[in-house]
Amino acid sequence: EEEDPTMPDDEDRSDDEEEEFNEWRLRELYRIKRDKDEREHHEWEQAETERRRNLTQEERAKEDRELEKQGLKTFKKEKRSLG
Amino acid sequence: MSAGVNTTDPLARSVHGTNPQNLVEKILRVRIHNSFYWKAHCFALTAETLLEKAVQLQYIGSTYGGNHKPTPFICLTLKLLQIQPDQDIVLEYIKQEDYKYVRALGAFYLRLVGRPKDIYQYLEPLYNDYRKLRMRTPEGWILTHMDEFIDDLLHKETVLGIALPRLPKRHQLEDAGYLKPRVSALQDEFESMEKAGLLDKSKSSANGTQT
Repeated sequence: EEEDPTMPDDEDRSDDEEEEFNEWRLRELYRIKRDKDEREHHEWEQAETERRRNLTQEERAKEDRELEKQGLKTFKKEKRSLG
Repeated sequence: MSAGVNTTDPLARSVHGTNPQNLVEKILRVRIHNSFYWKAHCFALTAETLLEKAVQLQYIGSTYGGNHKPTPFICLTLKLLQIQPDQDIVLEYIKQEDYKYVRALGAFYLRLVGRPKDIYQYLEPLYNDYRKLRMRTPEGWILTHMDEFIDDLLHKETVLGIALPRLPKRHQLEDAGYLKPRVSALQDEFESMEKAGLLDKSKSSANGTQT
């Protein structure tokens, strides 16, 4: 295969090991945080669905009105606007 | 095109309900079949002789240059899809530590054909591998790292020009009892930082929109 002079150096050397490790450390911490947030969001969603399911129809309607007052679209409204 | 050379091994299983070679889109497949590397180096490769080619890999990538020339990496990926080696062989590619591009090839291939549980189980340990990887793209070279490549495989929909088969979210597999929560090598450090409130200003938020 032909040589390409612009090919970057990929050698893993001991003299930049510390710097490489520190960069990895930040990437890994970010990933843990991201995955944890995703999991918490998923759990929150499940709990919220469960809670709404247990409300009476009047309670749900009341909650929807309050959410709308805050400017938040409810699922029902969103569905209607889609046609 | 001569019969047989570019067809899938008749003993190969179908993957995700289709011929495994179809995971590579037709345009790319044709480019690979017409490439010099494919014709000169991939003919009649077996699971054993493919490894001899894989240890010579110098970079990952799909196609490069203005004319979208296929990389040896993507050629060998297609070859693996064609010959369908036993999963044990693929896991050896992944577990060995001497050749980082062999590991990347095995990881990419497992992501394409593996069961979701196996994908998480065998790829996540590679998050601890931060060796440098060269990636060749149509726009030029990129220097990345094994852990970043693995993260792309587990989170992106398209990697190296290939639309990856759908992978359930990790928490879905945890809820179904297939996986235990991942414990990062930095788990303790993360938790003590969190306790100390060092992560509160992080950009991401628990109720942020998910993409």
